[in-house]
Amino acid sequence: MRIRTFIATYLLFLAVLFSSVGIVSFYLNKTQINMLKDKCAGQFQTIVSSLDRDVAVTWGRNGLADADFFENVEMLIRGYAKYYLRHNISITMIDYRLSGSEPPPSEIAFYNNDGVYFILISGLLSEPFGYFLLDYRMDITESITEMRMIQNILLISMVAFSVIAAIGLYLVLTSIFRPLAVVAEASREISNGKFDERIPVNAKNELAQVAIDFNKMAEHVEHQIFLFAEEAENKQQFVDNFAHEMRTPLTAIYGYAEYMQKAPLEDGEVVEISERIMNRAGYLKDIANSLLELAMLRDYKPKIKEIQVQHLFDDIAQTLAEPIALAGINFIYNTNAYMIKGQEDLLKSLMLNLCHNAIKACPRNKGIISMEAKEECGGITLAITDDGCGIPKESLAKVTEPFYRVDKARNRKEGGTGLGLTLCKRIAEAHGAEMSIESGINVGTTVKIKYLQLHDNSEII
Amino acid sequence: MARILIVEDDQDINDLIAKNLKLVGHTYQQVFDGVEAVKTASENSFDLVLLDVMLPKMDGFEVITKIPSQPVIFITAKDGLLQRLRGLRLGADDYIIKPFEMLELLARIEAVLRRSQKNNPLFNLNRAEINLTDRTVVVNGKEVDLSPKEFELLEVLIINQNIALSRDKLLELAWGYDYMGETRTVDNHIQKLRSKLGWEENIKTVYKFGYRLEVKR
Repeated sequence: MRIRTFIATYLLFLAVLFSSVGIVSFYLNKTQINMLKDKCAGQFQTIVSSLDRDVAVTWGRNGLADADFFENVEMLIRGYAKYYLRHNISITMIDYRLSGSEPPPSEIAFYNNDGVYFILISGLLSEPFGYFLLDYRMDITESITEMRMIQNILLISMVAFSVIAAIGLYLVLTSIFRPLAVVAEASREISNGKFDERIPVNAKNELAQVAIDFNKMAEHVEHQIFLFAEEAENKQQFVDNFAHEMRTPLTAIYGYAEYMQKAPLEDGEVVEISERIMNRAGYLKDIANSLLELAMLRDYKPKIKEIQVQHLFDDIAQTLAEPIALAGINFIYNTNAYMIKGQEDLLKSLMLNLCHNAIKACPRNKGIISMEAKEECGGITLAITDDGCGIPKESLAKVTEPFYRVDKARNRKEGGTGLGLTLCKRIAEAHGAEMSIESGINVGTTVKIKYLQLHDNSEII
Repeated sequence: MARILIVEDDQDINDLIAKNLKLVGHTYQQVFDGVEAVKTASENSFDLVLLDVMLPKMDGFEVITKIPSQPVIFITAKDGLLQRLRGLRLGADDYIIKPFEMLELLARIEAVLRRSQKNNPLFNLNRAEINLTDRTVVVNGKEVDLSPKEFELLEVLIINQNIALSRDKLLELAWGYDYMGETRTVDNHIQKLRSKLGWEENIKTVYKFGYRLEVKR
């Protein structure tokens, strides 16, 4: 790019320089010669008029006595020639009176004869001596040589100037293109995967704005790449966890089926083993259902309705009555909010899920779980609090990740899919709410669903 | 017959391994977490420990450093190379990846026991005594000659006693993967074993599947 710009600019420069200087020197040359011609013509005229006079005087003195007259004229011419020779001018006179042929018309011309340049003028004297032709040659070789020398000096200095201009142009272009080279270098680095590459912004640099914009772009690209990488990693993590999660039930199902096929079975063993297989298949079905639900909730717009909070809570308490009685837990609920907006089955599923988690966290035959809804500043917060075993601090951020288990052994036994809290979070997010968890070991856990804004834009059915 | 400790937190899989060990005549003890595993292994002596890697309370990698030196096979759900290497470096004799096949597990157990010479080379059934080390067979006090392939087949049946083996599986185990024989070959050899050992009742034909050496206990 830089080299091409250099060559193009330089060629253009040379073309303009040489053609303009060439044209100028051509016209100067011509003018010079014309000026010389004019000068010669003036001189010629002076000589002719002075000859006219002198010839007339000579003729008047001698009459038409021819021999003397011509001799005198010749002497006269010789005198002139001798005088003008000092000025590089040779003068001859030709007598056409006796030759019988017509004298040639007067002319003025520039001649070059083997490196000798001269201007030739020929013309007749005035009547009655019109048969004398005056031939005038001025040697101008010296002027021409001088002119050529000036031209040569001009040419040499032009070449020298061109070289200097080339160097100057190169330096200027290099400095102009330096920021571009920096940008190009940075682009190369970025395309090679070094996404943290930036251009140093120089305040004096005229292309500083380009650098700033480029850096902005690079930052954006880096951020996007980071997001993609993060998403890819999350997906990979999910797939890894999923594959791992499948292995234990699959090992059991395959193993028991193989056992049934190959071992001599005792009485009752068929029932026992098929029970185990069905339980594990049921667990896989639960995972499949949860995953389906998760997939469905992606970009899902809940069908928002006004729901009576008291009604929702009563419904949940009724559903939970049996497991709560079994676990011997004290379950209390209250609300200061009257209505809440949301899709009822989703909200119920969310709250039930959280309550089941709370029941699992509480020790048997003691423990209190409270469910409440609070309305503050127009926003509603749902909260479920237990006084159970709590979640370790290092696990708190991870519990909503798919298949994450705080205590692998305990959860398996109780049949969790490892997707419950992930689902809860999705449901909350679909309602424009935020789920947060606070917990202390052996103190208990509080899960809050905080509505960030009212669903003014959502359709109310 | 070996004494084996099963350390696996999943009830179903622990039971499944136990059932299979029982079939081939091993005795076993079942534990479900790392701490219990260390306690049990320190108080009793076992010929082999089957150790799950992901355990509650203490993981398998920690357990193996805390139990008395004895053969260990890791059972792992993660098949990462690093995990395997780590297990083997810690002194495990082998590892098996979930989900595994019963026959594969038993074959690995057998291999480890044979290496540590914890398996009993003598096998008695119905007046026949087989010495797996010397490769001799005595029926009613008289030595019986078996062809090498017949003995291989007999060994496979004894190692996988009480487990039905398909004809293809028997071909693979006794003759090798690359053997291009027909399943008729298996039937012929089984007939010969039955008559030479007097095991007409003990080697059962499993309908539409293969054969099983039944050993009542």
